[in-house]
Parts: sequence; C-alpha cells; structure tokens
Amino acid sequence: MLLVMKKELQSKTLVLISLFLALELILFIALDFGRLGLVFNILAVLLVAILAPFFFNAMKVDLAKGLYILLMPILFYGMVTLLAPAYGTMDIMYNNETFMQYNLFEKIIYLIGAISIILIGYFIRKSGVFKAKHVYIVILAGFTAPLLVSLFATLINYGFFHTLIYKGKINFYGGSAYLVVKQASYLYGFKIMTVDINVLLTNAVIVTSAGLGLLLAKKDVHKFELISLSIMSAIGLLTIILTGSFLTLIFLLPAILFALFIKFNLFRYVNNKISAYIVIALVALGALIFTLNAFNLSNINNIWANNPVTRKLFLNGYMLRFYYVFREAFTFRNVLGDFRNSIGTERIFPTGNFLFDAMWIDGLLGSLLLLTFLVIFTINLIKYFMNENDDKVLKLMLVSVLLTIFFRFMLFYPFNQYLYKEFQDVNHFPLNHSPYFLILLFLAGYTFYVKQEVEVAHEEN
Amino acid sequence: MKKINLGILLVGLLTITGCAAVQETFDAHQFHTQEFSENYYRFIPDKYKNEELYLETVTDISGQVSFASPYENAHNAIILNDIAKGYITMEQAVELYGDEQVKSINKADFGGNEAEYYLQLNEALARPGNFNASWFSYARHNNLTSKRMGESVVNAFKAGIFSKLTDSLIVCNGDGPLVRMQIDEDGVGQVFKHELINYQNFVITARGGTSVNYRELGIPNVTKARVMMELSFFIEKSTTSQALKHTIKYEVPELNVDDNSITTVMSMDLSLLLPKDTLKRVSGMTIKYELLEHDYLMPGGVKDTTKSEEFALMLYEIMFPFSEWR
Repeated sequence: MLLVMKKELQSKTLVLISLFLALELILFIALDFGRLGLVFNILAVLLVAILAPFFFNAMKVDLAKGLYILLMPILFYGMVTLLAPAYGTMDIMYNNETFMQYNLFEKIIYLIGAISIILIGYFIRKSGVFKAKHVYIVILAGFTAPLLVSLFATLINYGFFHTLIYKGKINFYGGSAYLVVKQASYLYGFKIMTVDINVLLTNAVIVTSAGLGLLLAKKDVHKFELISLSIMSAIGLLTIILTGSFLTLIFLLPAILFALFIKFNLFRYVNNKISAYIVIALVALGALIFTLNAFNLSNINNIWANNPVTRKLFLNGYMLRFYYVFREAFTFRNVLGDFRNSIGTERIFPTGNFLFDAMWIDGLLGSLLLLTFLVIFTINLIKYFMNENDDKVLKLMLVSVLLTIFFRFMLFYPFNQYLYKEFQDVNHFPLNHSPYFLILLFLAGYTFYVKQEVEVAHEEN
Repeated sequence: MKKINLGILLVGLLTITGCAAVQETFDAHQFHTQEFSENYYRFIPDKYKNEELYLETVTDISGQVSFASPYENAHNAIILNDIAKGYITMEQAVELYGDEQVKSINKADFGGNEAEYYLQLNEALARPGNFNASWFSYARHNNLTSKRMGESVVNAFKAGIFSKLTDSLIVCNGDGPLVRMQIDEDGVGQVFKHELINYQNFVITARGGTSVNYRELGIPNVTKARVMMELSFFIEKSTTSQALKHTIKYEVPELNVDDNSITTVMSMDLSLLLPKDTLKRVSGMTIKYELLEHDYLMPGGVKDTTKSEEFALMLYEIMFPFSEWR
C-alpha cells in the first residue's frame, strides 16, 4: 500500500517539483541567508498548501497515529509567541529591554511556518523521492557553506589563531572598544558581519560532529557519504583549530560518547530497569537541588556559599540567572514571557541557555510547550534510530549533530550575535527563529516514526 | 608538491590581506587606567612628523571661531546655515531638531503669511529650552559616520581608535575615558582612508583635564584655561601640486577644564576662513594645542615649575557637517 502511494506520488510532476523545491527550501533555511527566516516560512506555507492535498489520506491516518502529538506543542508554542511581549513592540523601548518588533502578520507566519516545516519533513519522508543520505547531506551542506565563507573572512580579518595571539587586546569600532578574542567574521546573507565568536564556533562544532560517525564506520560506507561528511566535518574542525578555540572541542564529547556506546554496544549494559531508575533518580535529584537553590529553601545557598567549590558550582553568574528565571516562571509571575534584560543592576537575559531563554521570553507556558515538543521529538528520534532502515552512519550523524546542538545551546545559546553596539536594536536571535530550530522542526517531521509503516514496508519488500 | 604550493599560496594570501580587523590593537585597559599620565594617546603617522615632506601654510583664525557648551542651542550657530545652504529643508530641520513646541507650529494658522510662519519656526527652534537643537543633538545627526556619507566612508571612519572622535559623542556619556582621547601638547594624528572633497563648517569638541587633586589641596577647581589650538590638514602630493600642510591656529580664551566633564564646542566655517578649496583632497590631520594659561598650573601664562601635575586635552569629537568624501 505504501509502495503504491509512493509510486502514485512520484508520477505527479507537480508533486515532484514541489518536493524538490521543498528540499531546496530546507537547504536555504540551513544556509541562513541572514534574517530571511520569515520569507522561508512563507514559502514553507505555500509549499505545504500545494503538497497537502496529495498527502491528505496518508496524513489523516498518521495524524491519528501520533503526528498531531508532534504538531500540537509547536502550534500552541507559536500561539504563546503571539502573546509574549518580547516578540512585539512598545511605544517607548529602552536599551535594557528586548523587543523583536514583529508585527502580528509576521508572528502568525512564524507560527504557521513552523507547522509547515514539520509537514514538509513529513511529506519528503513519506514520498520517498529523496534518499535519506541526500536529505542529510543537503542540510549539512547548508550549515557548512556559510561556515566556510565565514572561516575565510575570519582568517582574512584576524589571521590565524587570533584568539591566542590577541589575548587581552582590544580594537575599536564606532568609538567603542571590543576584545579581539571575542570577535569573528560571519556571513549573514550576502554580508560579512562581526559577531561574537561563539556564533562561528557553534556552527563549527555542529558541523564537525557530523563526521564523528565516520570514525566508527566499517569499510562499507558509501563513497558519497564518506567524502561529503569528511569534507564538511573537516571544515568545522579547521574552523575550531585555526581560530585557536580548542576548548570548543569539549562540546563534541557527548557525541563521541554516544558513538562509542553504539560502536561497543554499551547500551546493552544500561538498557535495563536499574539503569533507568538510576538515571531518573539522578535527574530528580538534580531538579530537586536546583529547585531548593532557586527558592533558597532552608537557606541552602548559605551552605553552598561557605565552600569555594560549591559556591562556584551553584552560585555563579549563570546559575543565579537561571534561578531567577525559574523562580519567576514557577511562581506564575512570568507565564507568558518577559522583555526585561536586567532587574535592577542584575543582568537576567540572555541567560546563555536556550531553555532558560525560552522560559524568560516565552514564560512558563511557552517553555513547557517547547520542552514538550523536544521530549516528543526525542522519543520519535529514538524509535527512528532503533527501527528505520537508513544507513547507520547517517543515523549516527543525525544523533551526533542533534546531541551537539543540544549541549552547545545548553551552555552557549547566542541570543545576541552581532558584536557591535550599533546593531543592538536588531541583535535578537531567538531559538525558535534560528536555522537550527527550523531544521530541527524539519527533522521532527522527517523522522516522525510510525511503526506500522515500517512493518508494511518490510512486508512489501 | 602542488598541495604544498597551494597551502603556501593560501597562507600568503591571508597574510598579505593584512588582517584588517587587528591592524590597530591595544591592551585592554590602555588609556583608562587610574594613572593620569598613562592615558595619553600619542600616535602621529610618521610622514606627518617629517616637516620636510609637506609645504606648510599657517593661518591664524583667532577671534573667528565660535565657542559653545554641548547643551547650548546650535540653531543660530549652525542649523540655520544648513537650512540656508540647502543641506536640509526647514521641514527636515523641524523633524530633526524640533521639540513638541516647534512641531506644534502649524502653517495653516498663518494664512498666507509664510514669512511669519518661518520666523516663528526659527524662533522656536532657537529657543534655549529646545534641547533637540542643542549641539549635543546636532552631533547625533552630523557625525562623520552618518548615513549621508556613503557606506565606504562611513565604515572607514568607524574603524579604529580614531572612531572615538567620529561617533557623535561630544560630551562624556558616563563611560569616562572610553569615549574620549587624552592628548598632550605633541598632539595626535590620523590618516583618513578617504579624501575630503567638499566642506564648509568644521567642529571640534574638547575640554581640558588635569591630574590636580583640588579636593586634597582644599582649593576650588580651576574650570577654565586659555589654550592655543593647532589643527593641521594634510594633502598628499599629486601631479599638479606638491604635498601640502594647512595649519590653522586659534586661541580658545576659556576652554572648559575639570568642570563636570563639560566640553567646549568650537565651530568654524573653513570655507570662509580659508581660500576657496584650500582643504580639497585633505586625507589626514593632526590636532595639537599649547596651554597658554591655567590659574593653577600656569598662572598669568607662566608655567609654575614647582607643580608636577599635568594638563591634557580631552578630545571628544570632530565634525565636518555635510562634507563630501571620495
């Protein structure tokens, strides 16, 4: 049945052209033509409007099987962003506030666009027109191309190893001083901008992680995957090395660990109830300590403050920001988002962590919906990883990239990317409009797993 | 071998492109230490130090320079000229420099009497209470990185430490030494990446600063000093002319010094004070000064050699409103 549907779809020129354009759109999203997210979202809506009638029957079945569970959190999350003040504007705006100044039309486009991008992923997978390797390589190429240009621009502007050579040095732009080690050049659309070097390194470490699976691959890896992944990964690695940002390599650790677990089949040791209980217990303990700290219950922070190690661990600037954001959200003072960057003299936002960023600008409701989406996506991804027939190297690559994105954004989400003060009015890069998130949405649709579908496919084979 | 050559070529290419962003770097806390004497910026391009290279003409324009404080109204001093010269229209002037009172003046209320309407507008714009027409506000719209200049010129003036003097801040904004340039009598110089083609007014904003601790001495602050300013503009050699250096000097009878960071705005119409097109093709300048009188350090114009404290000129901004560059 599935095969018949695929053949039917593939025989329709309009579908084929639209699917091709859809994949091209995904490439453009990954390329991130500097703030063209809105245009891409509009195009996604149009493509879904064209493609949806052809996938109507399949979609009806899959919605009932769980596709709606994937779509609902994003739909409601988008609705929260309609109300969250930080996405809007105000008559008088101050420097210590974040207003992204989207109008209602733009907010609605972002909302429908997000749903559309998930559906595009779902349609492309369902159609079977493109092989998984082509889809993944297209996405990675989209991330890598601007990285390569940015690497050249950075080397031309700053030379090799500038973070090591110019330690403690400043230069001036527009009358203000900036630390050289914090700078890099980055391609936005057709313009090279001076950005926080973390923006460049984020892209670099993500692209690098894509090639980790190759280290563990057997000889039967296809030439196409081998060459393309090696080249792209090397560009990422070169960026990290040539800018002298070796510490960034730490962010590859989760992906390396995962690859090792797969290689030596270590999951068999942890795939049991006891391990699950231990993990749940550790997570619960972490959450408990965090909550106690955030609300300073039993004056626990005084205890941490007495010891230099615990003081650094639990009461550093980052954690204090997280506590404040968490406290505001879970005491229902911030349900639909806030727009202030600082409270008194304390800087609160951006927090540096994508989840707490969301908790601040999208409020408790928005962050919970985002988290729900991520959990559902993760569950689908695990099912996809365990059951789909795609090449193991590709699946490893996908998980490596997603793991790296997650850990990187847990510690370094670059909400403000431009370095120079003159861009501060437009220096807002929320996660939900970033190319990484839009690609994540696409992958959520693409890897949407319906067990029955695979079983049928097996039978037909 | 080919690969090695390619690598060498790549490294060579990247090296000779000059690492534009790091051609001029400084230590992180340079120029804003607690030690007054460590904060001088003394850079002058070597070619400007060589007195043989440029044929110098010196013009004394003392008495022909206007002085104001940053918060004084600049309408009669310069905005009116901008309107008269057609740099901006009256409507643009109202939009840029008018407060609510100015904007509430309605043309329809004057019937057909346009002259009266414009008279009222001018009076309202020139009101001391119209902060939007102050020098502070004027600088915001007319610095050397204003959009009007064209992207290449704008970007050229934004790069480097000299951008402290082209960023529209004519007075301290709370960032102290970060926004000003402290210079001694030997001065400071800069080569521009573009040539000045058309100009009229020139504005320079500065104040005096000393290392004198008046509180410790138990005497009131000396808030004025007499200073001789010396601005030199350099024109490179061409097929029709040798390299030229045009120096203008003028006395500042009462430069603000140590007075809550209040600066002195010095404005002059160089198109009138110098022969026509004298400064056409200027591609660099130096700013020097000489302290003539300071009641504590140089009372009556005689340097008190028993005093070890220092006097410095704190530069904030230079402006060539509505100038053209190529």
